[in-house]
Amino acid sequence: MMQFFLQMNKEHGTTFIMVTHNSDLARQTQQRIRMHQGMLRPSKNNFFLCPPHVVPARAEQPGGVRRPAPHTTRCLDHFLPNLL
Amino acid sequence: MSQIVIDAVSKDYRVANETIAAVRSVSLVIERGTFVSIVGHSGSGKTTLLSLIGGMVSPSSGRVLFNGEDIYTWTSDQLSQYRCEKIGFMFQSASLLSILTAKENLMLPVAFRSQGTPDGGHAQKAEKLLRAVGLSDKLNAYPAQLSGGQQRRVAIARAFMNDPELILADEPPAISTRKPRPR
Repeated sequence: MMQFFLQMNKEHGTTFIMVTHNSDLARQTQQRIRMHQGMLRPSKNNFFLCPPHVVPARAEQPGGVRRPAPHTTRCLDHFLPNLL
Repeated sequence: MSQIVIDAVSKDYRVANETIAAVRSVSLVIERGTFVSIVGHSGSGKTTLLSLIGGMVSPSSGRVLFNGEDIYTWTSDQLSQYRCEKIGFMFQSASLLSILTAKENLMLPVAFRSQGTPDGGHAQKAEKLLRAVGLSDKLNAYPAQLSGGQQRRVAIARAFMNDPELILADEPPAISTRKPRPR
């Protein structure tokens, strides 16, 4: 079944987000997100975590001020040095 | 533009007098055409995150952007259209309609599209998808005539019927579509 998914992803450009316990399946995907207790766990494959500057400011909030999000700081710039 | 941006999203559930934080201030970006897996122990928030992206549960705080638009600012009709036309869901249970054959179950999502879709090869497409998941001999079988694994494969094929931009798969089976080799 995984081959079918990979084929659809490659041929049609369909984005896939797959929840799995199966590490063999996860290893075949381009990007892996690890979650623990509701949070993203930093790992070598969580490099696409959102750096704060990627997310546009919330224009709908008074003054366009965004509430600081503690885990947006877990971006590449912050934890990459610990992984290399 | 990134296809999906999850911006400081949290989701709390209220159970009795207790608040359970299923997802805690998660932020990430998913680009179009990528294949992403979410792994973690049971109760780690994986399925809740998937549901938040799929427009099935609203976040307690934060935003979920799809093609630059915050899906939780949409009306109920817009959210339904998003779920029907942009996303293919693969749930842990097959959730097939028992009174419809495998092929008819596949053709059902087409009927719910907002734009009229008189049969334009949908039957052929349903057959092609069922063959792709190894069910070429079960096109006209009813769910009760299929094994649990076969039912899940019908549900997988169904997810592709509306040519979704995004597939959300919750614990898809790792089974092969190949027929067993004769002894």
